[in-house]
Amino acid sequence: MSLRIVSTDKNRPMNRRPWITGLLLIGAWGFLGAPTAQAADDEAWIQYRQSVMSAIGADMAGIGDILKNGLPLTKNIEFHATAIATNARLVASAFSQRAENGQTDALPDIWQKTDAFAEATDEMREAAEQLAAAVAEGNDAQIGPRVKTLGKSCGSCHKTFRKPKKDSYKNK
Amino acid sequence: MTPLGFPKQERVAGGSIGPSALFALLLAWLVAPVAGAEGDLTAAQRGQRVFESAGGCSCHTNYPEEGADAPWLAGGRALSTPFGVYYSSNITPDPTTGLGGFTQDDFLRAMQEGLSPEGHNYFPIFPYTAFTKMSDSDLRDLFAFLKTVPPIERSNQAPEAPAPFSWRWTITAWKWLNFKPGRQVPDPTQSAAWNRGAYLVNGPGHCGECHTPRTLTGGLDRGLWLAGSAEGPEGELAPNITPDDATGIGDWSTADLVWYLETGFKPDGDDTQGLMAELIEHGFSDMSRPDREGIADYLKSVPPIQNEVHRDSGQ
Ligand code: HEC
Ligand code: HEC
Repeated sequence: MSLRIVSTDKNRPMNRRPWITGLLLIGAWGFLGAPTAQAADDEAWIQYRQSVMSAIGADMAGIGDILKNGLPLTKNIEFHATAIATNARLVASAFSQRAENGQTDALPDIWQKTDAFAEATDEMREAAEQLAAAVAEGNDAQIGPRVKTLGKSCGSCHKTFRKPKKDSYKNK
Repeated sequence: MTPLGFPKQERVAGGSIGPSALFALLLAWLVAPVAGAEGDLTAAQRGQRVFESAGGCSCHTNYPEEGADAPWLAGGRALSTPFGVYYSSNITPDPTTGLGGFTQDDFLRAMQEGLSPEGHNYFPIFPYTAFTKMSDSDLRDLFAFLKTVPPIERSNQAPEAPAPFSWRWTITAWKWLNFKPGRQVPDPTQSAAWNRGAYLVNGPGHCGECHTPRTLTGGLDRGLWLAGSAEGPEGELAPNITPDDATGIGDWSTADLVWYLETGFKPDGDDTQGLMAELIEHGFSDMSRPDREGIADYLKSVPPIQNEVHRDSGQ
């Protein structure tokens, strides 16, 4: 209620001092606080996009577990593949922030060759959808070749946009 | 055997197969011998299998700089090592720049003794320390296969290595220290699959050349056999592949290893990069399933060595 009264009372003379102090404070925050906030921000973005990638990796591991051990769970491959396609739709936003300060294997080209990065993402999504379709249609003879195509889509993006193993933060 | 353990389409006459049939098929492959009688194959066809077990001799194609269209097996690929940069050689049958002038005996001598037809030493970047374990018959077949590859004219390049690593005569000393010629000797106390795996790992697969760290003289540090190297060819980090639980692949099952050599996917779902990815794509994935199983059997039996490989560990 009081809010409505304040906002409609246009004739009341305004005390400018709190505004100026506020602006100065914001300026000081930008000047002193922003760099650390930026680094913290980078870590958050890095952690998130790695979570998306790890989820994709976990579904790929699930597909592998079923096939390599001959588990009678072929139908589950459809769900794993669909999950990869869903995660593929998150890749663009997960990498939208150019975050490079931290424990990351992302290469700067992601934010320079944006079209190629988007293409590589689409390649993965399409390959995952094709795999899901093969399982849904009961086209088992195509599962192997399509897993292989999906696997290649990971490698072709990693080759260009992810640091090689020797430079990985995991091996420091 | 086709990649991913799935039959080539023409072999599943009658079209699609159900999930339980798929499982039955997977089981069948586990116990079935390699499809097709070995005896029906020509020397070149058998040689292609040897070639695959050597990772498709990927170092001899300049994929990193020339991409998928790189002239196949024509060499020129820079392999950087702590001792300098060496260039792989042309192994197409081109008469002047490739192996065209080699006799079969020349080829065997190169692979098993590290000597050129003119009798000079090859730089040990060419892993004859492993290939010396290969049988004469496999090498004859491999030679027959290499004769069928399209010849490409491309001259070999000299290494960019500081003395003494660029001098061929110092290799005589190197060989005396680090090279023991001789074929792989089967261990009668082990199974046929294990022996096959031991042969593939130590001979054509030359796994130790990358996965074993080197001593100061550039020889393989046999006390750390397969325990990982931070300075593999092209400066790559090759992980510890002994069955150590903490630092190696002790937690990988046989099926994990067989699948890895077929697809490049690790148990955690991550993929493989660099040279290992190439060896899998151009060679190991085309090996027969029993061969990949033999490798897994053998690798799981080597002594586990605790050795954490880091970029800066110097090993
Ligand atoms: C469009 C490009 C692209 C595609 C396609 C792609 N990745 Fe990635 N992946 C990356 C990048 C970039 C990183 C490094 C991210 C970082 O460290 O910030 C990465 C990292 C990873 C990681 C490590 C995450 C971590 O915690 O460090 C895994 C696992 C992974 N990817 C699995 C996969 C799998 C499996 C596929 C295929 C199904 C795949 N990726 C497809 C770009 C891609
Ligand atoms: C030319 C060098 C080279 C040769 C030869 C080679 N490897 Fe590798 N290998 C590597 C590199 C480099 C990696 C790391 C690749 C990666 O993880 O992206 C690797 C990774 C692996 C891994 C994964 C280990 C892990 O913990 O992630 C296994 C298993 C493996 N190799 C087994 C073998 C076997 C078996 C052979 C022989 C049949 C072999 N390698 C031959 C270079 C080589």
